Amino acid sequence: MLKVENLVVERGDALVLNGISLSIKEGEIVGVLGPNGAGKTTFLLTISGLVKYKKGSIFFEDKNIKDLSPASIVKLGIAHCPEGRNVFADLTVKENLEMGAYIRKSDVTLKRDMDNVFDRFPILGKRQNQLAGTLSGGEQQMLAISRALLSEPKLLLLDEPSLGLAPIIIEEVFSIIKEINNRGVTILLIEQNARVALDIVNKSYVLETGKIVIQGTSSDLKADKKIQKVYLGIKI
Amino acid sequence: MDNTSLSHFVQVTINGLSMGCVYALVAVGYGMVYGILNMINFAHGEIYMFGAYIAYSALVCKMGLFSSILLSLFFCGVLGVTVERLAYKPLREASRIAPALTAMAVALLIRSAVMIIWGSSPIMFPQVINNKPIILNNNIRFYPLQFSIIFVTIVIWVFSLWLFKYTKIGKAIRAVSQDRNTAWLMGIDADKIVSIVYLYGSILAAIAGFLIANYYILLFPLMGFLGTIRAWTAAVLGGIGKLSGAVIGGLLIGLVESFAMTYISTAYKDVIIFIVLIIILLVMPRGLLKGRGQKV
Ligand SMILES: Nc1ncnc2c1ncn2[C@@H]1O[C@H](COP(=O)(O)OP(=O)(O)OP(=O)(O)O)[C@@H](O)[C@H]1O
Ligand SMILES: [Mg+2]
Repeated sequence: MLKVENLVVERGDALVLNGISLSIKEGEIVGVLGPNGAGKTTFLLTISGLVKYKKGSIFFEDKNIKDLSPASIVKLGIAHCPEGRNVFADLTVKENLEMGAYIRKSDVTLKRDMDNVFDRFPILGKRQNQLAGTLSGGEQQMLAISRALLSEPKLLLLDEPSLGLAPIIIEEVFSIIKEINNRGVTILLIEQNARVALDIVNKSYVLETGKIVIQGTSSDLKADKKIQKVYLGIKI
Repeated sequence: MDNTSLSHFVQVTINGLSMGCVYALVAVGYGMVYGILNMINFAHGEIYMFGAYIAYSALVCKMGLFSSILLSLFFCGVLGVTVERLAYKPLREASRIAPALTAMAVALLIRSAVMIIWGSSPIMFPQVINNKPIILNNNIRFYPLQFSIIFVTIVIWVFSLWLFKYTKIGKAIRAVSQDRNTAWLMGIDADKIVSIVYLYGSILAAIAGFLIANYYILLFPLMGFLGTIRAWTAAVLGGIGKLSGAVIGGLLIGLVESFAMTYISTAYKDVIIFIVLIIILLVMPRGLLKGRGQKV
């Protein structure tokens, strides 16, 4: 579904991604793990078209999406739930969801899907006319994910959904991610929290200073000495 | 207060409100542009001036009132969008100072072009709108044009409020103003939205330019610069990024100007406007309607 080949990205003068290759099949959850500053966010922004690149290629459903605007990439079926949630703080909860559905035409199915969101997350329904900036961190994450899904994506990009959330909320967010995947949405998940991420992904890539250093299934990774030490904090 | 001074007071208020409405229209467009790109658009007032000159030429060429207005709106809209695409868009990711400087250059460019085309001395605007004052009791004069100015401003204000609050495009404009990159990720073409904002702001400026030209019946190239200053003051006074703030700020400046001119001194009216601005910002640092808490 998504195929990235030898992607090289510079930001300013810095070489941030130095030859990344990755592929995702339909229906999978694929994780990208890595420490701060590894280039994970840059990688997602590049897929979404917000960061430009000179070398390498990105194919989505066998279509080269280089030079497409971020808006056209959303229209192809890639939704992006950005790092730090980034809800529109001065828009209401409902307006945030409407922005997620910006590319959709039909109001009938939108109303239905909106109601589904409110059924699934009653708190969002209760607060629908409240400014999104007044929600708690966990609620904002639910809103950001629901908002991304309203564009009816085939592929969902999630950038550190666990960031800054309490462990119990993280668990809930991850079960929601699993649930979304079960409904047929393919997911590319960026995480630093390897412990929870490895439980739900089919395979993972570990990114360090712009390069993929390890890749494999969760059981491969859990068995890897370095992963155990650095990412899972297991003493050997 | 005796009767004459009371009617004088009412007269000064009416005059101030009319001027204030024009400032409000310029300020609304200015504030929108500021809100969406966070840039100080020094060229905004020049578009208002340009619109007035276009209307002048159209009327001199014996075009009808309505088609002259349309022509002016069209030219200003095209000018605003072109300037944004050519001069500001390439600087989207640059530091804050670069687009502001570019805007200053654009302002000079437009002003020079106007001076080349129409000359630098003031010109008389053809009086096309019947503006015979209605004399109310107590000798208060109410000009039909003042009524039109106030009416047009209220209509545009209400329309803009509706547009921003309820329409899809209005919500997208607010989203882009808050976070352009996240807006892109929603599938919103932020470049298109920015252009729409420039188009809308320029059209409001053109309307304001047309009204002021009819009101003062005088055009001069520096009126654009004065318009920018007034718009900036109004937007800051009302609260940056607040539509109604710009309107209230504009009205307040019009009133202060009118009263300062009548009761204090014409020469010091700008000083007085700035004193009012400073006092209000000292008490309410984010303006009357609590706009964005950031540097202006
Ligand atoms: N706009 C930018 N201009 C220049 N360099 C940038 C820019 N954004 C990020 N970088 C640099 O790129 C590198 C990777 O940043 P990125 O945000 O992609 O990392 P990350 O893996 O997402 O980190 P984190 O886990 O902290 O979110 C960092 O060294 C960062 O300083
Ligand atoms: Mg990141």
